[in-house]
Amino acid sequence: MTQFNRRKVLAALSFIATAAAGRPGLAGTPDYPSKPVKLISPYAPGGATDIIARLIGQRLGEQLKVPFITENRAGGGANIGTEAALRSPADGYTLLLASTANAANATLYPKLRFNFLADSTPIGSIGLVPNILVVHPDVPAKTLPEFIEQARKNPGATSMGLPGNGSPQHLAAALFSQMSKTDCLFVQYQGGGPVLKDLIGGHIQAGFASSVSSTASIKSGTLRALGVTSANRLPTLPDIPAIGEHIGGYEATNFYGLVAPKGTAETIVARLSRELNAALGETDAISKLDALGISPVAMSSSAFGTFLASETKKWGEVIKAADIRME
Amino acid sequence: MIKIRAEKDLWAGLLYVLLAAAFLWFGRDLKMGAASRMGPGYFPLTLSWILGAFGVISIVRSFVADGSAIGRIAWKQLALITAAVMAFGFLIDTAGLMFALPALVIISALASQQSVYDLKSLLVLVGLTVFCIIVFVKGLGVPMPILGSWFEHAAVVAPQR
Amino acid sequence: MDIFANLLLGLQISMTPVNLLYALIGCFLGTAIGVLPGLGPAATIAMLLPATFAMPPVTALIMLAGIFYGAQYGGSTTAILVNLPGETSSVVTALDGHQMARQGKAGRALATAALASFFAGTVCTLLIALFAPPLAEVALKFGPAEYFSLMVLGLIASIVLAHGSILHALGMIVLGLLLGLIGTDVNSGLQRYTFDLPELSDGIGFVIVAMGMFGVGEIVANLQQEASRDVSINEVKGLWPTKEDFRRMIAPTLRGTALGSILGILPGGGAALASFGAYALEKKVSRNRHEFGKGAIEGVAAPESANNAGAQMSFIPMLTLGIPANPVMALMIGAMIIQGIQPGPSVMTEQPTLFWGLIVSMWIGNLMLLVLNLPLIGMWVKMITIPYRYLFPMIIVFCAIGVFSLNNAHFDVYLMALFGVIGYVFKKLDCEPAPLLLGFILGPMMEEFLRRALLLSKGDPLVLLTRPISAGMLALALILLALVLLPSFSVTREEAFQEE
Repeated sequence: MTQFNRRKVLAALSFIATAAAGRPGLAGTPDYPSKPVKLISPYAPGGATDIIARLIGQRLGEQLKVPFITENRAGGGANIGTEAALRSPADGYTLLLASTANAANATLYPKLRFNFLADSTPIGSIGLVPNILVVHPDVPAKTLPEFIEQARKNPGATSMGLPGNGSPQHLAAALFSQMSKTDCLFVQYQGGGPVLKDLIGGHIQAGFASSVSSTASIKSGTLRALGVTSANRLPTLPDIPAIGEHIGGYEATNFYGLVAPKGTAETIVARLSRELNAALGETDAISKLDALGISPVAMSSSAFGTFLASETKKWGEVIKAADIRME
Repeated sequence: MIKIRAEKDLWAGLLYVLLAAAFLWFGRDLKMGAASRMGPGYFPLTLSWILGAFGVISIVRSFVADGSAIGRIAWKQLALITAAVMAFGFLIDTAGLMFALPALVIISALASQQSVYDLKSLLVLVGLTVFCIIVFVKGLGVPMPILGSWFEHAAVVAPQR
Repeated sequence: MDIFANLLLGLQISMTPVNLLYALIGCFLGTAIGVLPGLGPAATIAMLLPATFAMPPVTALIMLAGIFYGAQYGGSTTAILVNLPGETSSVVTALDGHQMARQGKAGRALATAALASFFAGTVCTLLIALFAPPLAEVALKFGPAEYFSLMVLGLIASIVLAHGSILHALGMIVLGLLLGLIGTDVNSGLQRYTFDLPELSDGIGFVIVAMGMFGVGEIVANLQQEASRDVSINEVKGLWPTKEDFRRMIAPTLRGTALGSILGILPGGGAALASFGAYALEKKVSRNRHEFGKGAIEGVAAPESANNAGAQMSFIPMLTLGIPANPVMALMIGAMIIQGIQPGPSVMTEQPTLFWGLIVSMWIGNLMLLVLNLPLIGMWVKMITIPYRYLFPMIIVFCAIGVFSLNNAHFDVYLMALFGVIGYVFKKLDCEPAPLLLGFILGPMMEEFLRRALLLSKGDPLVLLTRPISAGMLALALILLALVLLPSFSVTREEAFQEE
C-alpha cells in the first residue's frame, strides 16, 4: 500500500473509532435521559412523603439535565400509585418513590394485583426516618422503663394515637407492644397532624410521631419524648434513649427509596443509582433532608433490593403477629 | 286504582328504598358492635334503615298529599353528556388532551339543539384546546398528557434518527 | 413585645418590594386556580414547593399563603357565575349567589363576596395578631366528643339549608352521610363499600361529587329547558351593589365573620362548617329569610365572610403549635421545615420576623385580592352572558380537567359522569344537592369522632354530656332542631294549600 492510502485507511479507522465512542447508542444504551422523567409519588400532594419526592426529583432533574416531574397518584395506602408505576414501560422514564408502606402492604393487602418485590427493580435508598414515642406531660411515666411498667400493670388503659391502620407508626407501635409485652389502647387517626393535636391537648396519652413533627413540641415541653425508634439515638435529641436500649433488638424506622419497573435496563439503573447517591452526598440536599427528619442513606441498587426484601419480611411478621388487617 | 298524587315523591321514595337496600346488602358483612363500642357497620347500617324509612314515608305521602309530576326526562341530553364525559375519561390517557378535549366538546355539543357547527365554533374549539394546554399543562404544570399512550407506541415503531 | 411594635415589624417585612411582588403572584395564582374548578390550592402549592426552596422563608410563606386565600376568593367566583362550587366552602355561596347571577345581579353578588371576604380577612388578621396563643389553647380543649357535638350541630343546621321539602332534605343528608362512609374506616382499617377497588379505598372525592351533581347534572337539566326558555344569562343589572345592598350586607358579614373566626381555629373540619353554619344562622335570623335560595344578598355575604375568616384562622394552630388544620397548612409546615424552621410553640418568639411578616402580609394579601377582583367583575359578568351553547361545553371541560388533575385517574372522571346522572335524577325529583354535600362532608367525620370519643371513654356515651363544651353544643343542636322543625310544619302546610 502506498503511504497515502495507509494514512487514508488510518484516518478512516480512527474516525470510526471516535464516532463509535461518542455515540453510546452503538454501545447498546440509548441516550438516557432524553425526555422528562416521571416520578410517581403515591401520596396526596403536600404530605411529608410527597415533599421528599419533589425534593429528590428536583435534585435529580438538575443533575441529569431533564425535568423530573412529580406526579401524585394517591390512594389505597400507596397501592394505586405503586401499581401505576410498576405497570409503566420499563424505559427509565417512570420511577416510583418507594417507602415502608410498600414493604408493609405486601402483607397488609393480600389481594394486590401486583407483587412489589417481583415487579420492581431497586435503584437506591434515599434515607431513613425514625419515629419518637411521645407522651403528654401529665403522664406520670418520665422514662421509658417507667412507661413500660405502667402499661404492663394496666393493660388497655393507656391510649396511644396512631396516624392510620397499617401506617409505619402503627407497625412501630405493634412491634413495640409485641416486644415489650404491653397492651395499649390503639386509637387510629387520619394522619399525623390530628394525632399531635389530640396528644398536645391531652385527649390521648401517648403516640408514635415522626421526629420532624414532634421535635419542636418536645423542645418546648409541650410533649415528653420517651424513646426513639431508630437503632441509635438521634443527634437532635441526644438525651432521648433509643427504644432498642431497653428492649433489645427493637428497631422501627421508615425508609424511602427509588425503584423502577421490573425489566429496566441495567445501564439506566446504574446511571440513576449513581446520580441518586451523588445527590445524597451534597451538603444542600443533606441539610434539607435532615430538616425533614430524614437521615440520608446511600445504597447500591442491589443492597437496596436486599433491604427491601428484609423489610418486607420483617413487617410481614409483625403484621401477622398483631393480626392487623386492611379488609 | 289508587291515584298517585305526587309522582316526584313516589320515585324519590323508591330511590331511597332502593339505595338503602343496596347499602344494607353490600354492607351485610360489616360488624355492628354495641352502641358503646361501635363496629364499622353501626353507622352505615343504621343510616340505611333510616334512609329506607324516609323512602317509605315518601312513597306513602305520594298517595296522600299532592305534589308535582316529574315531567319529561331528557334521555338524549343525559346520554350524550354522560357519553361525552366518559369519552374524555377514556381518551385522556390513551390519546391525550389534544383529542380528549375536542371529543368532549363535540359530543356535548350534540346534546344541545342550539349548537351551531360553523367556522366560529371550530375556532372556539381550537382556542379552548390551546388555552387549556397552555394554562393547565404548561402554565400550572398539571401532569396531563397532551398526546397519550397511543402515540408513545407509534414513536417506538417509527425509525430512530 | 408590644403589639404595635410587632405590627410595625410585620409591616416593614411585608412591604418590601420582593414580598409585595410575591404576595401579588400568590394572590393572582390563587385566584386563577380557585376559579378553575377541581384544581385546588393544595396541588398547586405542592407543585410550586421546589420553587420556594431558593426564596427566603418569609417570601415563600407569603406567596403560598396568597395562593391559599386567593383560592377562596376565586372559588366563590365560579360558584356564583356558573353554580360550580370548587371547594366545600363555596357550596353555600352557590345557592344564593348563582340565583343572583341568573337575575342579572352577578356583579353585585361578586362584589358582595369580595367585600365580605375582605372585611373578614381584616378582622381575622387583628384577631390573630392579638389572640393567637389563647385561641390555640381553646382549640386544644376540643377533643373528639366536642367535635362530634359540633358536627351534630352542623348537621341540624344543614336541614335549614334546604328550601324545599324537609323530608327530602333529610333524605339527601342521610344519603350524603352514607356516600361519605364509602372508603376505609379510620377506626378499624376496614374497607367499606369499595368493591375491592383501590380507587375507592380513600372514599369518593368531594370535588367529584360536587362537579358531577352541580356541574354535569345541572347542565343536562338546563339543556332540557333550552327549548322552552333562554338558558343564557342575558341581562346585567348593574355591576356594583346598591345602597340597599350595602345596608343589607352589614349584619350578615358581621355574624359570618364571628362564626367563621370561632370555627376556623378548630383544626380538621371547623372551617368547612363555617360557611354552612353562617348561611343557616343567617337564614334563621334575617328579616329577609324568605328570599333565601332565590338570590338573597345575605346568603352571599354571610358564608363568604365566614369562609374567609375560617381560612385565615386556620393559620393559628399551624403558627402557634405546628399542627396543620388542613392539607394546605400541612404543606406550609413542609415549606417551613425545608427552610430549616421548626413550626411549633417557639416560632412566635424565635422567628418574629417570619411570624409577624406573614400576619401583616395576610391583610395585604386580602387587600390585593380585593383590588384584583373588583375590576375583574365586569369581565366575569360579560363572560357569563355568552350564549349557553358555548358556555356549557367550557364548563364541562373545566370540570373534567379539574377532576382528572386530582389524581391523574380516569376512574375519577367516570365517577363524575355517574354523579352527573345522579345529580340530574335528583334534580328532576326536587331533591337538592346542597344537603347531600354537607352530609357527605360531615358523615365520615361524625362517625370518626363519635367512635373515638367512645373508645377513649371506654364505651361511656355520657361523656358527650359530662364534658361542658360538648354538652353545650348538643343542647344548642336540640334547640335548633326544634326551631327548624316547628315553623316548617306550618310552612309546608302553607305550600300545600297554595298548590291546591
